[in-house]
Amino acid sequence: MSNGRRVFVELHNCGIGWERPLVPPVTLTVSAGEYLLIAGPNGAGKTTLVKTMLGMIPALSGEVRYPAGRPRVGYVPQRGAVPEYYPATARDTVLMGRALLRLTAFRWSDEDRAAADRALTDLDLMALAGKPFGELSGGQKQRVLVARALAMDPQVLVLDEPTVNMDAVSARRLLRKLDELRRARGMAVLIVTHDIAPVVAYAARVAVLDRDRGLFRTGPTADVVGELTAGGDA
Amino acid sequence: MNDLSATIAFWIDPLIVVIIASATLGMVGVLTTLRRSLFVPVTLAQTGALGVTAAFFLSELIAVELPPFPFALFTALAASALFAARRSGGAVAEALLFIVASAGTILFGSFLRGDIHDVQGILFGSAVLVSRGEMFAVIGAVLPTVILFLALRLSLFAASFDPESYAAAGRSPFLADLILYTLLSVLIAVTTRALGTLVVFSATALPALAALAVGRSFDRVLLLAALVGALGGGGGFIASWLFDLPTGATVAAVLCLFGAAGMIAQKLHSW
Repeated sequence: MSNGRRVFVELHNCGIGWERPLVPPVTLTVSAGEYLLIAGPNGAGKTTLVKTMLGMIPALSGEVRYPAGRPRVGYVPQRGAVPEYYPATARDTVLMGRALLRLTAFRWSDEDRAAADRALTDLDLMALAGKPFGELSGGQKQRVLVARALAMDPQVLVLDEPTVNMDAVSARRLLRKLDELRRARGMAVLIVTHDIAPVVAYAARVAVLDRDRGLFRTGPTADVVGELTAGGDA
Repeated sequence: MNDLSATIAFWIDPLIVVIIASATLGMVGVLTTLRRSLFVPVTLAQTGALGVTAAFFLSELIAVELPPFPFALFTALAASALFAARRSGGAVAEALLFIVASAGTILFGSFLRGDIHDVQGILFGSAVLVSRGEMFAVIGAVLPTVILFLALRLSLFAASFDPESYAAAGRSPFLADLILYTLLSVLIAVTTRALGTLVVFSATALPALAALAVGRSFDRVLLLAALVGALGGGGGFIASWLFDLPTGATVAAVLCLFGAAGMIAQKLHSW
């Protein structure tokens, strides 16, 4: 437990990268109910950090631990990372989140359908549920992918550049909704982005990394952003 | 035109095999088509052929008759593992493996002293000379494979749609691909023997293309692909008997018509 919260992921002095570490050793925890911003310029190593955290790539050194067992992770990739030509409505796409929970299922259970409907409702997508995924607007697709991750009832929700190509109003609305859902569901929300401006208002903690500067800092968002801004690094 | 009813004893077993095989391959082919891996089935068939020729070659070498099917399955499964392990799509692995398997098949075949027609029949199928035993073998292999595919389809679809999220959820996209290609290998290994490479390749690609052109949800596309496969396979087979045409080519041509009809329907819909 950390600050009375259940710790989902612990990175202790982890070297992150493919062959050599991208940034200094990373020590970081992700706890239930927290809103964590992972920031840095494009190519800084943010995605590598998240993949290491989730066990998708091994740490070069140090240790990645899941004190309460491996958490259920809902992942929202960057918009455009998923194909648009698949035969799936918005509801089918959200239901795919349920398929990530188990290998076999002849049909969706009532529980699966209820979880998908709840996620669609949470993201105000019910009216679009029967529309083909490929025919939705960019912002709608992004919300469907968030709903798909929510349908897993995740303990950790990871979003990769969720506000890219979104207008300021839509970006704010999505981030506010994620904050509401975080409070309601008690899940940890990790936002990976190079554009920190819309997110700093919500994220209590930030991890900043930049492979070009060999930089890794983590701490309360106001402190770290203030420190980096004062140092001309932000 | 031939009289169908008078010759029913000759064509009913092969017809059943063609319908079952085309429907099943059509359904499973939806996922390989979605993954833009259209040439995986034909490459798996060719690597299976390499296994068959290798079995004949070894049989002559050690003077002990070795069953060709396990060899075909083994080589096709090895190819499946290779396809699953590749990090990105693209047709390079398929092309290289197809060339290697084709060359290997011909080279092994050139050393064989036995009846070359037996070997060719096993490699390329005849589609008309399916025995009752072969029919039951096909049904026996296809039925569990289809049940397994149907149980796994939602997970395989999710893994194919977004491998990153699949991996983030703690699942292995490699394993999902391996399962898909293994199921396909089993189907191809048992159906190529009965139907030949051309029919197998056509049945894997064309019903899926037709169904994907008009279907809007995954399960409907699977159902539609199975129906198109069954209709195209069965229709082509009957047409070949009626008009005395080469069976494999006629089945492939009829499946092409379905594929073209699907694409035209898609174009008309998009207007």
